[in-house]
Amino acid sequence: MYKLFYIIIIIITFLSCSKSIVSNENEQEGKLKSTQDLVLICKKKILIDDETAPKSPYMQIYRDSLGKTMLTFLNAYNNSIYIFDYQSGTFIKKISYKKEGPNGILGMAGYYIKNLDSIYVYNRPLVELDLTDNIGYIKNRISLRGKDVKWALSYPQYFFNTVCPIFEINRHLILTGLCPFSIDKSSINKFLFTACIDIENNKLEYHHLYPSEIYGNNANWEDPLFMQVFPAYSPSGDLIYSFPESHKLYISHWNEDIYYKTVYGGSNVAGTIRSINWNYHSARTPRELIYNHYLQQDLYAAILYDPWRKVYYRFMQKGIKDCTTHSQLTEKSIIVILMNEQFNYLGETLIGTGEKWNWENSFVTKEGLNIEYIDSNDTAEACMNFRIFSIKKI
Amino acid sequence: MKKLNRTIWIIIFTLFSLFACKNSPEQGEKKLLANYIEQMKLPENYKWIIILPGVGCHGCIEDGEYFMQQNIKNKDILFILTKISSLKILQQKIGFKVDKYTNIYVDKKNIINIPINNSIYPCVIKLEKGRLSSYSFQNPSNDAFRQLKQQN
Repeated sequence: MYKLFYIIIIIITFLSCSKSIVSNENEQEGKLKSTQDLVLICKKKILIDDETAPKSPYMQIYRDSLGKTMLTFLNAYNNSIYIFDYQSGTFIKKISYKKEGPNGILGMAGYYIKNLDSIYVYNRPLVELDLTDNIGYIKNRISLRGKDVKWALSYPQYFFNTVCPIFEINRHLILTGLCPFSIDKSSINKFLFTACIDIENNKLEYHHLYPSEIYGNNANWEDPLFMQVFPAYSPSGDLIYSFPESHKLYISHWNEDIYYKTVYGGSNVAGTIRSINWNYHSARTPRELIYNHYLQQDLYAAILYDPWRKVYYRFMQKGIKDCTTHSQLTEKSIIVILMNEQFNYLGETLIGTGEKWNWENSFVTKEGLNIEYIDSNDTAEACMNFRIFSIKKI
Repeated sequence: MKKLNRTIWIIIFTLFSLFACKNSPEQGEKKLLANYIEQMKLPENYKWIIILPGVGCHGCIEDGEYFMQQNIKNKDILFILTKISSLKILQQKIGFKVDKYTNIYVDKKNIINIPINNSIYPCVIKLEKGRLSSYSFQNPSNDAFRQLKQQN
């Protein structure tokens, strides 16, 4: 009888501490051969006003009715969208929004310029998408909040940036959100992270599940940094998803929840990516552990499609193996992986660390891949600087 | 006696099971802050330190920026600005140049990088002889700046 008690207690001891660690091995580590390289071809400087700082939280390249390329960016300080002629760097227009009142947008955190009469602005404090025009008039407000009090547990949150933008497919706006914390085993087949809004009737539907092999089984990815999803739109009309912890890319139709295909899309130097060794059900994961884990792991980021060179660029942040509590997120090295349209590996280039490169402000123009460069000599913060890269055979 | 021994063992095992996974995520927060302050080797005239992050809880940071604007001439307080996304915009908001005041330390390299859950909030630290005596965070459930005003 007592033996049985001992066995039960020993089992409880082990189970009470049980945690599932996901381990994503890179099957191609050290085996890939580079045939192409990313090369710096030119620099671009945009002169900004006294109320604007570099490292804008959101940018969009937009083509106007005459086909001119416009560089637009968000100024969260004065609640505005700035429009510059991309080629000449000339300031064109500033669209300002009030913070309060019937035409108020309390906090701008992303936008999509369909045309200058239809600008969709994400109003973060109210979790809504506001349809506006270029004189600051609000035409419509589309709520992204659920009706249930606990809606935030079942619906995505949105952290838009230049490489995770609001975009349009088949007359639908695609809003890639995220679950800010680890997903419980019970929710892995329920939580949908993409909101799709029908432009014709504002009907809202949700699609796309987190892949259970990475996020299921109570794996600890207890921070939005781990849960961020990066989308790209392929020339064949598919959505390509880059999840930070996966060497693979997940391909889906925009209006389906599951992925019809996965392809290898990893780096030659990325190692095994592991979830945090902590049972988040038993106690809150310490911030220090989350922070160090994020620093140590090789983690993938944005994926961008270049229709001029017909390649994909996928970003990867290399882990810092000997990091300390003083280490910064910006110390991680940034690698850009090149793939052709069939996702075949072409090569990869180390561009430097986040101290010099704001990879979150990256976009593609016919000139090449633009990445924001942080010029430490510009102490007055007078310019936005970009470096433009193209591809070259080795 | 034998039965009693077994019972004691069962109790020990049960307690072990219950406490095996107990951890305090905030454990070490005070130690980390105290270490940073000790490394800074501050002059003893400062009675308070306010660590004002540039990113985190938006409203709490705005409270901190307002407090700094109103109390910048108080030489008992050292303001440490860290994780600043833009010094240009911060100066626009507060209405003065930070390099005009000796009681502002701009942590441009983000050396004061404290990986704790509360690092998104402004931190008010009370000093005694240049060392941490107590601390609290300005967050939606705690008005640390009001407490400072009452004690100062």
